[in-house]
Amino acid sequence: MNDALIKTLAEIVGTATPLLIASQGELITERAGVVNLSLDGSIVLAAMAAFAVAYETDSTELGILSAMLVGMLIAILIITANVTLKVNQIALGFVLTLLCADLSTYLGRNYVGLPGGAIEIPHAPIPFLKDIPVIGEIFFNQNGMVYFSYILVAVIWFWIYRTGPGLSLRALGERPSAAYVRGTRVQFWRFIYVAVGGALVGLAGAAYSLDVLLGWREGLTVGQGWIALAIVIFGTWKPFRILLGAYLIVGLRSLALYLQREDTIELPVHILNMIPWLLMLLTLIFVASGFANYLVAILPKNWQGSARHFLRSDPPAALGTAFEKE
Amino acid sequence: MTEWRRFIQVTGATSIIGMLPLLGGVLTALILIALVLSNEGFTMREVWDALYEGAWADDGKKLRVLVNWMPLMLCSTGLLLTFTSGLWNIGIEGQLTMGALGATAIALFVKFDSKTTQLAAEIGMACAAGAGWGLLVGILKTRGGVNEIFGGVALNFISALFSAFLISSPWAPAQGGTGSRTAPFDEFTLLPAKIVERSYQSNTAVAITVGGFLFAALILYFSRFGLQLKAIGKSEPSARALGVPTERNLWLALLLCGALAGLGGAIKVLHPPIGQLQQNSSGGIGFLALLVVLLASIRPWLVPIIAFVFAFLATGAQRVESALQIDAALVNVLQGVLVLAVLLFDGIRQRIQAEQEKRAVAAQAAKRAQEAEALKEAVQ
Repeated sequence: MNDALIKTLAEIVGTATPLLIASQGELITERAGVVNLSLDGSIVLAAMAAFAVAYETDSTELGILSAMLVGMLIAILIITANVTLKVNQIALGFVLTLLCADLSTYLGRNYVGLPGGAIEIPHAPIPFLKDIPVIGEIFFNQNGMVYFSYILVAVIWFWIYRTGPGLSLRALGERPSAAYVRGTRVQFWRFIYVAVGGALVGLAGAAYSLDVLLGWREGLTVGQGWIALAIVIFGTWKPFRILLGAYLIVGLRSLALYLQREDTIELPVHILNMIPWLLMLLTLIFVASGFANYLVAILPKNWQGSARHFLRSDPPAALGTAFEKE
Repeated sequence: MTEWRRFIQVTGATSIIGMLPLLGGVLTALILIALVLSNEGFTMREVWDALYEGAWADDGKKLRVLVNWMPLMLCSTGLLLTFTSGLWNIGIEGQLTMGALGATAIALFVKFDSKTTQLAAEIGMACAAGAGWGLLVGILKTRGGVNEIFGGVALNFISALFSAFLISSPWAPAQGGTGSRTAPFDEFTLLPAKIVERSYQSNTAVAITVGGFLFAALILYFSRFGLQLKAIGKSEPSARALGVPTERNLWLALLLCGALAGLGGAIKVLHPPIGQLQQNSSGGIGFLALLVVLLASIRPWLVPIIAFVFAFLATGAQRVESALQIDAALVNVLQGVLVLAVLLFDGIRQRIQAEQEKRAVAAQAAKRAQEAEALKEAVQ
């Protein structure tokens, strides 16, 4: 493999990290049956908070912590208002999307364009692992945030599919009344998962302003939150597919940039940038339409089961609904 | 008298408690903004003066508010239809953009002999483009299994990228293109307007806006379709079980909303002095319209008023920024806080009302039991 390609792939893994972390945060939120629609605003406000705090205190760690706190508080606001006042999650999330973005512009106006070299998340290649040919260069010659994202995906997968509390988590999103009857404290656990999910979304903001897009300017991450929300659907609410989705989307984006630099190919960058969105719509349509079933039917018999399993997309059944004790 | 009472009932202003969330929200937002301002060393009075100076001091400035009001108003009007049917049409940004693109396509490349035909073609194209984009959200939802929020977001991004693509190459001005706008349209293709104190007044645009609003309000209140939309909004499965053609009605609601947003897009590009397609022509108007309708809690008569307040703030904010060095983003923060507070207060109101109802039911049950007891004793 040539060096340029390896370098590009390593860059894709690094750039996709914030999207990956944010979508994993949204994943556990939605698995608990709650929609946090505010991602686009949460991420940008958290990014601003991370940069401002890190810049003022000269501490990257404090910046990251404050970003997580911001994300968590927004998520807590949504779940609290939803549980105690029955305010619609979608409406709240949407209003917070706009409000947080405007707040970040207003509060961050004195931090625009400041140098962030001193507070950047440090590059930290892992000894030995980084020397593995190709794989080491791509995955283990990164910074701590990227390594954290690998662990996060594995932990969330293990939690959801292999532990008792994970089973309860799935029940929260699928049928909260059943979980309640089995003795799960529905509102309490929803609150916990939504808060943790929100903290991860905030962490994604820090990953932008302290690493991927180092620095602060108005609307630094605008659009990324919507992409993260779309990746959760695209990844059919499964941790590893979300990882694939995040890498794929960022990969397509860097392909667009690469093609733009090559003069031989006359495809405008704006059209190329549409591809991820078109792909996402087409995937959703493909899965929902009868076409997927038709494809499965023409496969050899012993492949059908796994193919059907692979193509299935089941949103948590109770997603976005409030839970009330009878 | 009864007619009058029915009118009030229709407008939803029947109870004072019903209006409490809005009042509470306004108060919260005002208190918060006063705190922020005093923290920065300004008084509310200074800011109000700057707002007034920027948006209401003379007829020209009032006209600027009007120009900001019209697209916002058309989008909010469209959203009344979709919200009533329970749809979250976030795709309205894209529908507005497509309307602007439709109007631009005709204005740049098609020439008619009479100005009326020219304008009719431009506006018709804008309507059709917006309507098509809205219908697409509906088809994706009911046939493609794509939730309208994500379908809408995806279509927003696609339309914005498409607009950027058109501006950057095929529609770029022949000379001196910056990639951020098309060449100015020929004056012949613009909405007819007269100049008042360095601003433009276009009665045609006003007529389109008011006409669109009346059209939607009439549909909602006085048509079978409007009633069916309300039924779908309350419960889609029940409406379908009762024989309401839900899919057709949802499509029609999105189509009409898209058409109205498209009209907004047409006004955005065809109203002098703009007269060209600019990068990011939607400028968040669609999202702002969603806030307007949320604030109005789908009460149509409140929509023109709230849209006016938002347009007034948007116009005056530039003056506030230049005169007092207060970031114009603060105005958007104010609007966001306002809507958030109204949502929360509305939750509180519902909780209070639910509790009152519960207590009333309990009281009635207790009274009945007492009566039964008394009856029993009397019999004995």
